Amino acid sequence: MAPLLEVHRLTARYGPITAVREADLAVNEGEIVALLGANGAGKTSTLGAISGLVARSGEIRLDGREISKLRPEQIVRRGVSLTPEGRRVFTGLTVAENLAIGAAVRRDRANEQRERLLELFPVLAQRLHAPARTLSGGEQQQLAIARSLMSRPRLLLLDEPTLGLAPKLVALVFDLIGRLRAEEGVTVLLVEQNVHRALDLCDRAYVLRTGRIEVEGTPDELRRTTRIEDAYLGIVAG
Amino acid sequence: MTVIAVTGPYLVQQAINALSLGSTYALLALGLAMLFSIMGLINFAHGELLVIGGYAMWALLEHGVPWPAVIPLTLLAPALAAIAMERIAFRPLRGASLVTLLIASFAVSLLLQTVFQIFAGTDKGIELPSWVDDVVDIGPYTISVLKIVMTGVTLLTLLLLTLFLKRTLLGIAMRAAAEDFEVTRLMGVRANAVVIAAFFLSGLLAGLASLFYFTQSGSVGPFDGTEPVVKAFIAVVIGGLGSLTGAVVGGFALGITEVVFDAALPAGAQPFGTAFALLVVIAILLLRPQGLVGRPVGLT
Repeated sequence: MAPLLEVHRLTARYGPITAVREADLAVNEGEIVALLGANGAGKTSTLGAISGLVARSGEIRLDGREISKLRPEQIVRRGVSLTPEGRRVFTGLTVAENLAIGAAVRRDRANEQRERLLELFPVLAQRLHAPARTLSGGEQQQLAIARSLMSRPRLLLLDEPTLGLAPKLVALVFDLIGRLRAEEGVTVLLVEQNVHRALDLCDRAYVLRTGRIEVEGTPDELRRTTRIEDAYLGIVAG
Repeated sequence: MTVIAVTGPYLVQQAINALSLGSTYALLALGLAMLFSIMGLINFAHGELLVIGGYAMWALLEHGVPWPAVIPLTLLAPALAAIAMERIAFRPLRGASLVTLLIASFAVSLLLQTVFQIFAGTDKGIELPSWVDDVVDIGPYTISVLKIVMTGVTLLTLLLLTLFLKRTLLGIAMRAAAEDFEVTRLMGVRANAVVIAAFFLSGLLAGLASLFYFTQSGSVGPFDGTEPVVKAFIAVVIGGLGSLTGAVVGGFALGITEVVFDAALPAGAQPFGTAFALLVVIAILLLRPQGLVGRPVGLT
């Protein structure tokens, strides 16, 4: 079976700076795949390029269809939803309004989807009409993920979903990602600094280093490769 | 020294003056603030939208179009002009820096002023119906009907705009885009839809300001947009850049300040009324550099 997402020779640039060089990666339907690497390795740029936010060249196929020439708002319509780094919820909008924007591309059965997500994220149900700025960091992260899921994506791109969260909340977010796959059938491409937890959760991982994909493998394979551990993972393991 | 006799009717009179003047400023300031918060554009060509409304009103009345038709068409003309402005001048500059956009807006403003000069020439008198001069007597107060209507329509417009921004998906998307345009696009909201809506609304508000402004001035000329847009920009700054509520508060604050000085200054100092009003603006900004309503995130 062809992968849900297939990226071939992806290069991403910010003006003259090349952030990702000729990266190849694939995510199969139902998988959780982690993108690992030190700061500045190109993880966020890879997600940005897939979502259409960052200038890119190369091939990006979703279900075999080329999406690398599309604009961000078209890509989300195809079923790829990015939860950006730093949460970036609309702080002046209420929780309900944030979710409404998330459903901008899938207004059919939006209420039904919202009810399901509010069951999955009960804390949001309690704060539905509160401005997002009054939510804690952990609550905002849940809102950011729920907002991305309102479009009922086939592929969820999660960029550093546990950044800045207390350890208890980190565990909660990882638990949620696992449940999203199990209960909602969401395929996930995850960027995460918390290497050990990411390897505990994912099916496969790619390790990026200075814009190139250095290694790819299952968590067991990557853990066995001490070279990886020392060179890239050890220094950033949380 | 002039002694001002402050009586009840006089105060009410001046309060209505302040509110109606503030209404015009608030409507223009809202249009400016909307574009600034969504796309970082300080649109100095906004004043020319006001003038386009004025010319529309003049041309329609010249051709004997009845008032009930003149009003919606005067609203629509600047709104459509604003959409054209976006398409022709500002869309190619999408994402450009604040300064680039500002200079582009000056260029559009000067270009339009020149076009007005070529095609319309000198000031055109607007034939106003007699009811604009009507007054009503409420107890001891004699109040201009037009000014009451202006204030009422402005408040109604603010209410409708608030409902639009809070209750419709497009309105919510505009508030979201004002906060974080990139993430709004990530949610699948079309950038063009939001930007066009913002220009359309800002033009519509300018159209309403046209109706108020030119029914009071009674004539329209090529450069009539400059002073109001500068005043509206001041209102935006007083209120706090990026805040719609701030733009409205700033508009009314400026209107009130001007009327107070107008009423309180001795005759000899009258020509300097605006200078005194600007002194108050400077004082406000020294005390509250973030503006009266501060700089909350996004449209509030």
